Amino acid sequence: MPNLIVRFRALVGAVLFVAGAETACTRSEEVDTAPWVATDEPPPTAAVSRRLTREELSGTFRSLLGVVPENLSRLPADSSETGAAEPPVSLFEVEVYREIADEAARLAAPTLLRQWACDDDRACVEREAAAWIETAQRRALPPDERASYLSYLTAHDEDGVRRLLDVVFQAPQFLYVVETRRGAWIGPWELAARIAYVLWSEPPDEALRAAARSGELIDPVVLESHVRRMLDDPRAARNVGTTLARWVAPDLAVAAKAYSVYPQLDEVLRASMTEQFEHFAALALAQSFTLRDLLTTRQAPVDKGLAKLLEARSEEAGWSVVTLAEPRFGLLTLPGVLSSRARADDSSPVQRGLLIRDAMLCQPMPDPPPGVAALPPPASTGTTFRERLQEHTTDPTCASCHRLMDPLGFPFEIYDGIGRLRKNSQEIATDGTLEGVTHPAEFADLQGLVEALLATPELTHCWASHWIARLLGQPATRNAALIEQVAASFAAEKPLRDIIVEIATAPELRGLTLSL
Amino acid sequence: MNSRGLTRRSFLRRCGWSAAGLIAGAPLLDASAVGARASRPPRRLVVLFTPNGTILDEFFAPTNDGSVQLGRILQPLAPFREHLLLLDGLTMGVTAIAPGNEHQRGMASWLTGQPNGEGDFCGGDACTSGRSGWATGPSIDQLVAQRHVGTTPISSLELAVRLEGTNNRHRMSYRSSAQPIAPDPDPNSVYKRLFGLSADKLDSQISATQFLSDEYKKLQQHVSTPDRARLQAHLEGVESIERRLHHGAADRRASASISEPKKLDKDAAANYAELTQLQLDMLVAALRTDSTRVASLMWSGATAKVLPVWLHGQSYAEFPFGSPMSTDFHAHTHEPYVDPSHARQAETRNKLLSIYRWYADAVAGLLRRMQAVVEPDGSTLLDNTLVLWGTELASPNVHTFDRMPFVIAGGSQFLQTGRYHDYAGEQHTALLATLGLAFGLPDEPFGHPDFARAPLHALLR
Repeated sequence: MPNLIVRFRALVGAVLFVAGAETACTRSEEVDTAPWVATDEPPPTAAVSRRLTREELSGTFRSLLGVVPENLSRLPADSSETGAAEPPVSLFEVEVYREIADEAARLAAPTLLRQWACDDDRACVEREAAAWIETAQRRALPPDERASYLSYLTAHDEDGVRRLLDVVFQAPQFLYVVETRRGAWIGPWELAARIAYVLWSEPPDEALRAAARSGELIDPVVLESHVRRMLDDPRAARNVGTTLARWVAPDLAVAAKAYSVYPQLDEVLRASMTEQFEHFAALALAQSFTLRDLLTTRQAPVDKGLAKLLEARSEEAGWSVVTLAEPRFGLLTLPGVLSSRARADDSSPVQRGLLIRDAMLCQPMPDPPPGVAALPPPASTGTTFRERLQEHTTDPTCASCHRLMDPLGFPFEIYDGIGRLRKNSQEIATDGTLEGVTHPAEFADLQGLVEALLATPELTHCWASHWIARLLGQPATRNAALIEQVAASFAAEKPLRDIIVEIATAPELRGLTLSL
Repeated sequence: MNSRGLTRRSFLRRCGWSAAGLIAGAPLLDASAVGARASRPPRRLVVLFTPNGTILDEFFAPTNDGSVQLGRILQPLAPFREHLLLLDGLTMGVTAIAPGNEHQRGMASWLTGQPNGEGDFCGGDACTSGRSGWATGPSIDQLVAQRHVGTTPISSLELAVRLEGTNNRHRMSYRSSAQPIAPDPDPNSVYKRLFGLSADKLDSQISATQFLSDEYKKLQQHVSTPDRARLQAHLEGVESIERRLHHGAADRRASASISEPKKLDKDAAANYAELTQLQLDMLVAALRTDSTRVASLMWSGATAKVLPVWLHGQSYAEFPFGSPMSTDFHAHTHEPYVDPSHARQAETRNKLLSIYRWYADAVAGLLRRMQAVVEPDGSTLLDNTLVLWGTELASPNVHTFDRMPFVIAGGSQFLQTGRYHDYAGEQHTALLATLGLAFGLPDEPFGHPDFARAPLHALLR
């Protein structure tokens, strides 16, 4: 069997090395544990459930080394939030992983040697190195693999440690989420890794590792206490903020904006718009926001640039939470959302209406029919789209879809293409009708639209689907019962924070159903 | 010292692989590929993608006698007239059976001849037009590349300029169904990958790659079939690096005679033109040093939404426009521009023509570079390379697929270049099959069974 041959070679390598090193303190543990000796239990099955996303890999290095290797920015951007849908690697990525590992090993080796404080004690270095590999690879290291890794520690100095780290950082157990299973549920180490990456985009911390090591993490009470503890950490806010940003403002970082129209939207302001989601999430977690709070709060975290854009008064340097004057409120009016759902040189009621249909109600719209000149002539700043979109409602071909989209975008017309309140916002017609839902409703303005949305079950179902898909790393459609349960929680005004706990402790997250 | 590396290395030596041997000579002619045909097949394949279709009546200038006339967009290619094959009228029928937006469907199909599958990727503006997934078959460039695994240090090189994302609009090369290849948008990164491998402690580097190969193989034993395929992709990457270490990548730097490109922000639209020049340099350097025989370059990806700031103040005399380009490339294509007698439409049209002309300039820049490289036998790099240039749609305004703008350059000893052909109604898979034939793939239809077509034998010498 090829497997045995491979393992045999690895072991021979280890033995040769140990013999040649002539160190007095060599323990014979590597030699004693013949890896292919069969145990009584059937071999565990493993699943490579996914590759770490770039963001998770970045979080992993940050957690392990305190810094993120520069080469990480060379990896392609993530195509999904959880890595579940990441396609197999390309050669390019494998090559970059190699350079990331090299850079990280150089950064880490001297620090680790200092921390371990083993001096010339080889056994000590091996012990510390093995423990460290368990942390980095988020697992209990089986004896045969321990031996094979330590055979790679060619010297117990900086160079040796660097070489070891170089392979530790390129191993499948580091770059992928590898889950070994016995029986129906994943084990405590696997659970710890899932929870940590889902809530923090980082590997388990020491408290979580301790609970995994002792096995008590699989106790639902213990699990819930860890989830609640982790939601208090700023890493959870960052993660929830990223989720919100990708959901409602997916193209914010690259959205084309015409300098001639919006000279103030520089890279600094754009970065602030992105970062605002993280601070908004921190607010929502700290104050136990419900869905209604998320969509109606008049509190908003701002820095200097955003305060100026929103004409809010902020006394403090850095980020602070301000209460905005009406009509500004809630997640959907954050400048990042309004900028991402707009044209380069103006707003776009169509795109903003689509935001509601697609992201808030989970009702994707079909393609526009072929042959349309899709956009009306561009307008100068300060005027609105509404009149120019008349054709969408008079031409029956257009109207069938656009009557579902455009009216939901008109209330947002009081804001321009980067989310500023227009000077003439009082004169803008913001009324419309919400159709195509269980409870159709007429509304007078944005606040009315939000109230109409909150009254319709499509909204709570959509939010439930989205958070389940995000936290379980798989399409929510596989979890119909859980969708019903979570949608009911949203409808009952349970805080988002508690809903995250509900999903993260649900049996679905611990089960084999996650295998992709 | 771990002894495994030396064993495998000496094994490779015995098999005739050595760094010196590969660097010194140009690739050998694979005469068996096309049987007894007297023509000479190209040795290298280059695929170029420019986004958002084209304006067809400014791209092609149809002729009745097959001679090459160039539309205004293609004027920069005039010096290479003899080397061109303009293929008008090909249709991408296979896109009709795929889900998603046309930009997604065209992108997935144009090199694979297969439809894209179902999936979760948004088609364009805020998921306006449904969702879809990866292509469901291998792309022609990868099938060609797979014939070269082990011949060159890397089997194929995929490059990009200011890639706009990571979904099915930003990938065109596929190893197989749902296995897209990520292109590298950073010239500095490409340089490091091609020429930056250090010969320092080579044995130690090789033994690290072998350790890793073993780790991936070991894990493969314990996992399900789909997971095994996922690990296999990684394993092949590790093995490719190992081969390159054996090939002596450090020596290649000297023969490339190219210095490390400066670090540029790869996402800044302002760097678009400069990134383009550097990536073209990298592409030619990779071919010239025989680091690979299959290379591609993708600008932006389908539905390019870049704001063409690099064209400000550099408009072409034939295409004047007054107001600045205040909206992105894709949005411009959806403004009315068909009627040039209408002042506003004429303005939009000239903006678009400037963008399309700029891409044609870039393609000409590549051909110029390739013509300047003389191979040991006196022919040029362009003579021995087949360049395919395509896009994801025909008309970007109405999202059509029935007259795809395809251009071939080079490969003149295999194809009858210097010709214009109108293949009205023929499937584009016939072109992909012809490409396959040029690189030794079987003389048979290519692509999805319902749309697969045999090679265009009339194009061959």
